[in-house]
Amino acid sequence: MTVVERRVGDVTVLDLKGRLVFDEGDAVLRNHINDLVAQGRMNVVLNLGEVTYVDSCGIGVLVAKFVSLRRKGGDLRLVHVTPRSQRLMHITKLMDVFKIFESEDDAIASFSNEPVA
Amino acid sequence: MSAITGERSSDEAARLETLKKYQILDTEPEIAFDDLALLASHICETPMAAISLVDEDRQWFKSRIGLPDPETARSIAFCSHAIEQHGIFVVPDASKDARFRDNPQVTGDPHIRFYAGAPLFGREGHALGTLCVIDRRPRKLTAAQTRALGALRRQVEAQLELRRRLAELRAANENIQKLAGMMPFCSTCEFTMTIPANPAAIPAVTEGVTGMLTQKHWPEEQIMAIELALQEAVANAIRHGCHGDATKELQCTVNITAEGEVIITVRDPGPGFDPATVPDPLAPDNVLKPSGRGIFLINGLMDDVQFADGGRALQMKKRKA
Repeated sequence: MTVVERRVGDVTVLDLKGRLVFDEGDAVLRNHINDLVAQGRMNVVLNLGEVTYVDSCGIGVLVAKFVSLRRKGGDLRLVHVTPRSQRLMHITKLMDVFKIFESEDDAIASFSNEPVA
Repeated sequence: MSAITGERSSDEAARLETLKKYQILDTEPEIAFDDLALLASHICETPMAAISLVDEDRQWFKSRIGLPDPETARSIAFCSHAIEQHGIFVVPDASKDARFRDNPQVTGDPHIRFYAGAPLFGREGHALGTLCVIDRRPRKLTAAQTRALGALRRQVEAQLELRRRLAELRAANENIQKLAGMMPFCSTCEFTMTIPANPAAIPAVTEGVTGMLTQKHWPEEQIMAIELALQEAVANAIRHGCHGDATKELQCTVNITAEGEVIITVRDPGPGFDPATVPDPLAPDNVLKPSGRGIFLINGLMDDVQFADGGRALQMKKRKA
């Protein structure tokens, strides 16, 4: 899996492409977000539009990084979640946990529209 | 061997074997090769140019400009000498060269005086033939012409390689087509795999199984569910059953029955576990935990899931909708 980083103000958008699965994308994403946290960039939007495949390890990284960013006063928000990934989040009751957006602009704007927990 | 025929390399048999793999001898002219021979003759300002391939007893021209015959005996071929070199082989005046002055191509038609041949190397490092330029008068190549002939030689080699790769691809594709064509007629299809406990091996397994189910016309939704369940089962076996030790192996048996059911068994060499002790990932305290969803997903995706052998073997079934 590849990760391309873009910065819009204090929001970091990560475009993910490929398989977010055990030993492929999971470590890549975990390390990338850890680096952002070390730089103090806590507001992250993940663009999952080109993620072809997610397994429980991929879901696990999303949850772990969601929790750690929230604890540090930031958030992890999702955009362009494919039906296949949505189904997985639905089964694991995570659809209500993540803030999921249809458009990237809405996801970015959401950080300034509301106070972050 | 006589001075005329030139010294043949010790691995001549291997060279000829390689030449056969290019499947180019006695084929029709092709514009890609003719263009490169034409450019060589223009740039080097010679009336004759050729792309020759040196066979056991002959040199055969894939492309020729100004040369009357489609092939000549190898015993009188300048190119037979050129393929013994690494660089460009140059004969400034064949009538003054002891190796060539009695050659019938020098004493008679086409009256070769000047020859420059760049050997064409194949994938295995053998010289298969040459890109050569020929003149009826003694002369030399300028430094620029020599460089250009070297550049064109690399283009000819690229064309040869492309041709060989296409042939290889075609053969591989035919084999795949034959296997795939058989799949819809297999009433029962069962195979057992021994998989290294290496996550890099997982896609080959999951994609192989989904490919088979596609051939058997399983609905896409069900194939996606089986693919994910298999991914989870193999990943669990690698992570927990083999502790990520890539020298260990797991067994995976896939059985697609005549009744339209897929039965997959994944067995690992680990210490086993009690499935009853796996926490419910949907419990409020567990929803935000980073792990523990694999078996839950497998249960949700497949119709029937059973553990055996103290948790070392997982059997899961799904019936075609």
